Parts: sequence; C-alpha cells; structure tokens
Amino acid sequence: MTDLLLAIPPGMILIVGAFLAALLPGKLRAIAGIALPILGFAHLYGLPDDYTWTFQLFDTTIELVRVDRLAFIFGTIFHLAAFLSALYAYHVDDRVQQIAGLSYAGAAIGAVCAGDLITLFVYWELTALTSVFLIWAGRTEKSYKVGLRYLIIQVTSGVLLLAGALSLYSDVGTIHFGHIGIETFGGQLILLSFGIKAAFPLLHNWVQDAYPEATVTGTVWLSAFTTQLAIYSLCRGYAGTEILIPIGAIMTAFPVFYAVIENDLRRVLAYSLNNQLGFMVVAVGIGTDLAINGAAAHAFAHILYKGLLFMSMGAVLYRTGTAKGSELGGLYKTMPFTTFFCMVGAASISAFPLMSGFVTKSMILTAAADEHHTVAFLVLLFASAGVLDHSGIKIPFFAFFAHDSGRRPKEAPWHMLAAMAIAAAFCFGMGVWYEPLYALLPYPDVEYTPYNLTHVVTQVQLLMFSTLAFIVLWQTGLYPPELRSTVLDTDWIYRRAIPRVVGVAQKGMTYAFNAANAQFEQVFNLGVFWLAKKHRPPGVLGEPWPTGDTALFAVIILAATLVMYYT
Amino acid sequence: MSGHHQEREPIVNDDGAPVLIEWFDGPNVTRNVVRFVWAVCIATFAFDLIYWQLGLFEHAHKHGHYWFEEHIPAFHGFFGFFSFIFLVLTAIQIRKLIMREEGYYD
Repeated sequence: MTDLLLAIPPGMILIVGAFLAALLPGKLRAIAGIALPILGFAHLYGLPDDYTWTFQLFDTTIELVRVDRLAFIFGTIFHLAAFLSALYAYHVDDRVQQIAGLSYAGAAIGAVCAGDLITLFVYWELTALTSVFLIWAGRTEKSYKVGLRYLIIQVTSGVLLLAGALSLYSDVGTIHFGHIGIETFGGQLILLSFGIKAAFPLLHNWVQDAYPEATVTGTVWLSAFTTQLAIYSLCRGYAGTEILIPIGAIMTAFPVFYAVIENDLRRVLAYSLNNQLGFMVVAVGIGTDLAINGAAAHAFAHILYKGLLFMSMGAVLYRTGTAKGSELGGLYKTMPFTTFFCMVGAASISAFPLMSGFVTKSMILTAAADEHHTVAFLVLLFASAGVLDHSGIKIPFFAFFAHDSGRRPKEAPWHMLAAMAIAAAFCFGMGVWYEPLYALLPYPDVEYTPYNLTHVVTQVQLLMFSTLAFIVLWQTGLYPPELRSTVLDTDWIYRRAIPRVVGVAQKGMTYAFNAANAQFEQVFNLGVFWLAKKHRPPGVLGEPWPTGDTALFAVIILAATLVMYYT
Repeated sequence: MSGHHQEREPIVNDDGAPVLIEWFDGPNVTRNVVRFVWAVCIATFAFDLIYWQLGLFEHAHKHGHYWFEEHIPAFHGFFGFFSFIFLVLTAIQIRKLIMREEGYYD
C-alpha cells in the first residue's frame, strides 16, 4: 500500500481524478470534485519527509517528485484552494469547467513537487492548457479571444522555461531545479519565464485581461494557482537575486493607481493580485531566511483572502450579472453574509491586526528593514496604504454600500457561503493562531513574533489614518467616482497599437505590391511581345530553314556527343 | 400610502423575501463611523506622543528599524494619510490620460 502511495506523484490524483469524475452524472461529479482535493492532500501529507522520486533517463536524472518544506507548504495551500474552489463551484453543471479546474490545480501541485526543470516545464504548460478552458467556458466571442491571448502568453512562458533549461543543461550539465541565479544565459531566460507568470511590470497585463473575463467560478480557480506557482519557483530559483527588489517594489506600487480608477471590481482585484505578488517578489529578492518565510507565508495567506474576495465578487456577479462598481451599491441589505465575508477578506488583505495579512506581510517589511532596503521599505509602506484603498475600502464599499443601486439580489447560494465562511475562518484564524502556519514555513528555525505593542499600534495608525484620508476625500467629493469605462494598460500595445501598425503596414505593402506588379506586367508584356515578334513568320526565327542547315546542325550535335562521350 | 405617510415600504429581495438588515441606512451610522475613525486616529497619535515620545515612562520604547519610525509620532499614520491622498489625486490625473469609453476594444 505504501509503495502504491509512493508511486503516485502529488497532483496526479486531481488530474486523473478530474477525468474519471467527468464520467459521473450531475451532482455526484461536483461532490467528487470536492472530495478529490481532500484525497490529494491526504496523499501529500502521507508522503515521508523530504521524499524524492528520481530515475535515470539517458545521462540525466529526472526528479519526478521532490517534496521538501518549500514544496509542502505550497502543495498544502494548493489543495486547500482547490477544495474551496470546488465547493464554491458546486452549482456548476459543466464538465469542461469541472475537469479544467481540478486538473489545473493538479498540474500546479505537480509543478511545485517537481524536482527538475523538465518535469517543471511539463506541469508548467499543463497549467496553461487546463486553465484556459476556465476562460473559454464563457463560450462567447470575447472570452474566446481573451483565452487565446492568455494561452499565447502562458505558452510563451513555458517555451522560455524549456529554452532556459536546455541552455542551463549545456552550461552546467544538470536540469536539477535548485538555486538558478541570473549569472547564466539560461538563468536569465528562466527568470523571464517565471516573470511572465509572476506578472512582472510590463509583463503583467495578462492577469487583468484574462481573470475578469473568466466565468464566475473560473476566476476563483485562476486566482490561486498560476501566479503563486511563479512565486514558488522564484523562491526556489532566485532567492537573494537583488534585481527582484526593485522589480517587486514597482509591482506593489503601480497597480494601486490603476486599482483606484478601474470600474470592474474583479479587474480591481486582479490589480490587487499584482500588488500583493510584488510584496512576495521583494521578499524573494531580499532572500534571507526570514524573507523567504515571509514570501511563503504571504503566498499562503494571500491565496485565501484573495480567493475570498474573488468569491464574494463572484457571488455578486452571479446574482446581479455585473461586477461593475458603477452599477452596484447597497447590496448589503440583501446579501449580508457575502458582505461580511468580503469585509473579512478586505481586512485580511489590508493587514489589520488579528487578521492573516498582518502576521505574514509584516515579515516581509521586517526583512526589508533588517537588510536596510530603505527605499523598498517605504515603497511597501506606500503600497500598504494603496491596498487599503482598493481592496480594503473600494471593493466592499462600492459593491455593498455607497449609493443604493436599487438592486435587491438574493443572498449567495449555500455552498458559496460555505466556501467563503471557511476561507474567512482561515483569514481570522491564521491572524490569531499563527503558530501552525509558521511551523509550515520553509525555514522553521527563524524566530519571529508578529505581535508586539509597537507593531500593532503603528499598523493601526497606518490603516486608520489612511481610512481618514478616504473619508476626507469622499466627503469633499474628491474621491473619483466609479465610471463606466475601459482603462488602458499594456495590453493596448498588442490589442490596438500592433494591429494598427500591422494594418498600416499591410495597406502599404499591398499598395507597393500592386504598383510593382503593374510595372512588372508592363516589362513582361514588352518581353513577350519582342519574343513573339522574333518567332512569327516575318521574324528571324519565324523564317523556314533550308534542309542543308538542319543536316549541318545534326552533324555538329552528333560530333559533340561523340567527343563528350569518349573523353 | 393610505394615510400612512412617511412609512417606508419594506425592502424585499428578488424573491420577495423581506430583508431585515438596513443598519447602515440609519441617519447616524455614517456620522458614527466617521467619528470612530477620528477617535482611533487621535487616540493612537496621543498614545504615541505621550507614551513613547515624551519619555515619561521608564520601559516605554517604540521599536522601529529607522529613526523616523521611532521618533516621529504616528509616522506610519501620517505616511499612510499622505500616501493615500497622493495616490488618489495622482490616479485622477492618470485617469484623464488612459480612460476610454466602455466598449473601446469591441
């Protein structure tokens, strides 16, 4: 029995199970979807410590499975996220989405438990190929196009990973996935590959483009895995790579400006996701044990509270048909539980004391200050105020309070509420009882106490003074209202600029081709005319030849053949 | 309507079920929330100033990594406040630049 368990790579239970479950009818399929992550986690938990499964392929070692502490914490949260997403999506009666969601989660779990870059690549591409169906499941022209853009970007990331792995193999002779660094060309390619999935600045826009266009439940699935898989990979391969500190700091700061003016609340959450990833990327760049612990802990907490926020906005979308701030407001009256859970998520992401964000984000800030990254520290502090604005205040305020939209939707269905309740319980539970989370972190020996008087008071100051700023701006009418709009981001380059340039180029080329064609035709016609003239009866070649000339030609040709044949 | 002037119709959801929770529509709720926020801000500022900055208490020490954290009362508070204002005012300017109509890409 143990041998059998050891012979199943983590994640495979979800991937294979997803396809088997698809054979079941109706609700049984949904129930199987909820059960599979539990089964998968039991399997992962049952594996021995630091379990690896390697085999020799030609002259390289394939590490199909490697479950160390870093892999285990990410594997754990991925199973939990899969469970919550499946519970949240219990009402969905669509085989495509059910298979896609579960196998996507399984691929992500397999990826964090992969010990070499080739295995990682296989799972890496599998996450792309499975998750795109959560976008296509919208089954509209728009979702088709969005999905295609998403897939192109994801597959590009995978191709870069493969190219980097091969380059690294030729340089250092191993495909083992450990610390990589940016000293080698292969290392740089792989960083770019991870950077696309982690939504580095200017490579970020696929998140905002794709996530809000997925189905109600699809976005909940999507928010948990792809980007956090990238954070895991950065932790593994690039801890202490200093360039990541400015990259991460920019990631925390610039999306908050967008989040203020974006109208689609699920897109606001996508910007917020970007901003939170920035905190983790900074932590990876700092690279101390405390910082890596902070990145892993923050990823763990983030998956839960961001999932919770996406779930609450999904419930609003499910009940009202829109997630646009300009069309919502006053929903707390008929959706009080969803409102409450959303506010728990908002408090967590804002890092209020007693909530999960507080005990994880503070590690990263402390690590930054410990290593004297003063600018990064201040940028993170600024971004913390920004988080409070868009996720702490804007999301709950414009959806559930603000101006009464007159909408009176029903409360979310029971299973959505159950998923939100569990996530909310984790958000609060981890904030208060943080020891079990800390015990899971990659470096268990690091001493860190989140709660002390200074820390609690200064954090309350930061959040409440910022809230006061919101109140002042709101009461003076300066706070920008939610407007029906499209906000341009880097996707403008490939959705507008490049098509325009290509369009102009195409027109120009067509014109040039036609002009050249006309010229050519003229010259060609002249040539044909000349040839015709020479071959027609009055022309040189059109004349009938005397028989003697023809006989002479035949003799010359025969003689030439004879000479060539015998020399 | 018939004689019951000023009586509001009960709020019902799309299924016609009555809704009990309307707390936040009460006349004083917004005012009280605003007052609460002001109170917390003033209280934490005062605490910082009196307990940590004035040196009246023997073992009181504000642990910060930087001098500005330790010696400016409510540094985090003011930093957050001005960050927030800067963020929103800048975003309004950015909006002028990059906001388009809703169906821009369609």
